[in-house]
Amino acid sequence: MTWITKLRQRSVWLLLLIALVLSFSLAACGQQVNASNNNAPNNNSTSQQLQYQPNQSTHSNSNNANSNLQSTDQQVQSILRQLDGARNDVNSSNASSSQDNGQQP
Amino acid sequence: MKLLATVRHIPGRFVAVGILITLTLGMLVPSTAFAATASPHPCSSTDTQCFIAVGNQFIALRQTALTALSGKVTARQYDHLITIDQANVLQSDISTNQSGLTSLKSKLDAETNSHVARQDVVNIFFQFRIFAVVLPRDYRRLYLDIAVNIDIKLRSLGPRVQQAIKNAPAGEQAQLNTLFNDYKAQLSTAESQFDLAQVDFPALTPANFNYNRSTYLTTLSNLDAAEHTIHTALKQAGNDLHQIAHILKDK
Repeated sequence: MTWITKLRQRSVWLLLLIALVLSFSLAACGQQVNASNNNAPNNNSTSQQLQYQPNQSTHSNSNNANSNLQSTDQQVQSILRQLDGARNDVNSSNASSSQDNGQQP
Repeated sequence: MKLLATVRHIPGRFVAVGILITLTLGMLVPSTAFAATASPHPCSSTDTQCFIAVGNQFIALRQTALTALSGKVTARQYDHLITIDQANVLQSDISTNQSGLTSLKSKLDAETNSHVARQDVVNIFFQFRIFAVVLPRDYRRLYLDIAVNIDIKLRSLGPRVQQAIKNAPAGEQAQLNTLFNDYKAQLSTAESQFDLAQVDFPALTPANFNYNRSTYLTTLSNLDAAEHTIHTALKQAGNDLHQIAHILKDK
């Protein structure tokens, strides 16, 4: 066996090794993607459960009533921010109202 | 003579480049000026296609703005900030204007006479007044609808807030009651403006804008004043509630 033949055999083995490593890596990546996809709904349901926790113990005592008030206050502050947004929309519509004034061909 | 001699010595390629620059600027300046300032006479009186093209641009702008408003109405409905009925009133008005503009576009596209095409373009402004009347009015109506519903929500919280104050330590009661009284007063202030604001909407029409401008502007000003009072009152009520919640925290 000449040295050229040996070199060819080694190259083939090296290529096979690289292909094997690549296939393992791809398989591992695929599993990770599947795992994260499967976890996504679980994470959502967990967060929903956390959100609903305060409501499950409503009216049990005055501490809970106060914590409900805190939560209600947060909701109110949130909708008041949306009211600010609606106010900004009114102001924007005022700003663009000049587009109808004296702009005729 | 000196000037002529100087000009004669300028290399030919500089002259050619100069002419090219001048021609390019000559073509660019009128088009950019038209885009920026929307010159009142961009079309020659006989150029039907120009009126059609310009009219279509004006209509597209208005359709886009109406679609944006419609999207906001839908979003606020999904947020439960307005009711289905309130959303329907607004969507109906948007739909009427969009249909009207679509019909006008069909008419305009079919015009062969430049004077009629020009009148169609004028009608985009004169009949519809989307930017001057429809959008300002409908955004104010959307605002008022949201404000009315927030007021209802805040009013419904009253008994719960009162109960929480009763359960608070005696030393906090005076401050909490002051805040709660102001909370109720602010809601009453907002509610006193709702009816005043509602009656303004029917007068905010393109017809009044065109033929009865002073009445239109006075009505719009009254509506703005009412909505400003409502906004200030609701924000203050929200601030009172926030302070009450803060004091009662961990009690």
